[in-house]
Amino acid sequence: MDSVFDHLYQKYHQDLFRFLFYMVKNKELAEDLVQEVYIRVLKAYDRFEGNSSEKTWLFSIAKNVAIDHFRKQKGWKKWLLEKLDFSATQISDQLPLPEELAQQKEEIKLIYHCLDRCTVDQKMVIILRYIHELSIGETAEALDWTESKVKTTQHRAIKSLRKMMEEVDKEVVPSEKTEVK
Amino acid sequence: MRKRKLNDRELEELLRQLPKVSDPRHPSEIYQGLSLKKKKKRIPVWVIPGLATGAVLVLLFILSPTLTSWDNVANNSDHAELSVESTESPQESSRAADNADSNAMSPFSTEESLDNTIEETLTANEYEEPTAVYPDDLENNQIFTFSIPDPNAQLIVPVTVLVDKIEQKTWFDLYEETMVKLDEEEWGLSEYFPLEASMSYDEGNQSVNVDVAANHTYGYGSTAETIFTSILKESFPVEKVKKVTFTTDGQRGIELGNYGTISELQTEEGANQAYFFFYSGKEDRPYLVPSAEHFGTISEAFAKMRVDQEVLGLKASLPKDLVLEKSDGEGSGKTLYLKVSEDFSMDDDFLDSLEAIFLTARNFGYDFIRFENGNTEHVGPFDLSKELPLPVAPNKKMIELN
Repeated sequence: MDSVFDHLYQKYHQDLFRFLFYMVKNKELAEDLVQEVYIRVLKAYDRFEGNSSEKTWLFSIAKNVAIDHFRKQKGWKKWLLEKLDFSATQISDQLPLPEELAQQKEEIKLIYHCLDRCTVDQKMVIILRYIHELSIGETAEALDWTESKVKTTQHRAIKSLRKMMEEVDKEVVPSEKTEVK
Repeated sequence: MRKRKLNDRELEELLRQLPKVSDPRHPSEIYQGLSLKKKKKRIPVWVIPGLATGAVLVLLFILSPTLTSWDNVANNSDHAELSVESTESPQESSRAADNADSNAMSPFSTEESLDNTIEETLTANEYEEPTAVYPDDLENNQIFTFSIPDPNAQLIVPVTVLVDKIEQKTWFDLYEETMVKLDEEEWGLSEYFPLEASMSYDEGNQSVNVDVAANHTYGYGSTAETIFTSILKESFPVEKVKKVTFTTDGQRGIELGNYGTISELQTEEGANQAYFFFYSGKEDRPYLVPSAEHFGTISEAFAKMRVDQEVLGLKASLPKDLVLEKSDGEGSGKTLYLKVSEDFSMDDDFLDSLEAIFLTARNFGYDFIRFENGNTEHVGPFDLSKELPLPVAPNKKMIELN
């Protein structure tokens, strides 16, 4: 096995996988995408200059892979529209909940669903900041943004996430009520 | 009903509690998938559209000469250069103007008219080039007519070679240089030139001397002798060479079997002969070959041209149903006026026959031709509604001397 691959796998594989999983919410797809990340990383590894940390560099590649995937999936027009119109985000997935989540409490499940209503940018920030617990600086490095953009995007993300959770709570509760009964 | 309102901190806490989803695969499994994927080498996105574009370009390149009318315009101007009209505007441009007129009158509103226009321009471009040499060709070229035997040595085909005029050289220098370059076999004829002899030109006496070696082969058998003398009589420009004299190793005269020893021949220009088709088998277009027979009137010649001359392997050059009548027009007498039977219409396929008529008329001493009451306007590049200059020599071939 390639020593570079081995090193990357040991250190970052689960992180990369988790990031991609939360981006696409599909384990099989995340498995494919993480492969793609390795292909790109191994191709460019010699050129990695160490200006940023290895970890943020890998996240930036994973981010590109995810964005490319969305582009391909939706067609660039739709993707662009969505980029321009933050309110146009729609829940499109009816994917089965992975085991790890099924066992979680309702609030976690709800937050997981609501993640989809965020824009791609907001989602990325949330995943990196809270799931991977990167600092503002690291997140900015990984996304190739300024720190202030990370801060504002994060702020907006939390705000809209909270709003959405309140709305969804109202919608979902009746059905949940019947379940509870 | 949960009416609990989350504050930001609680929400962030919930986010941190999102489960650490992990990839259960073994690294070797991932690495294997990786090398498989790497080997598969995805075709770059641009390859397929690129190939398609390439194919389209190739098709366009192949089809464009027949699709674009611009090409016709270019070709027409070529034809105009070859055009036999010397005084009036070139017939091609008048034809192009005709086309333009008809286009103007029938706008492209219906598909039919568009199709017709395309068809018209297509046919305008499809005709073959004339094979004879016309007065216009003489502007930049020197011409030499060589008589060359056919592969069966039964008849002699006059072939007119056009070479670029070169100021510094005499006509005889050019003649000798051209003689070496003749490509008889390539043209479907027999190899004959250059002659195995040394030649010199005497301007004062307007004669060419041909000096052969004592063991020359030109006297071997009657066919060889006949061909040799016929060729020499007809292979020099008559206005410059009145006679051919012979020497053998410098001694006067040449031994030619049945003819005995001859010392000179008068050159001849064919007169009152009819032109027939000869197919060498190597080229699609026929050679136009004058008959051995000489005719009293041009009408007799035209009548004969409707019949194959099987003995010599010559084919009729005029269709059986075409009746040509000489009429007495006005003018200098250098113009031949021909009446074409009303029911006969000529098309572009008639070009070779038309040139047979032209060459026969030239052979009978005419310089121009004018068709009367024919219902055909154009044959190939020729505008039959006008008086046309006759060709100066048959069977054009181009040769590059250097």
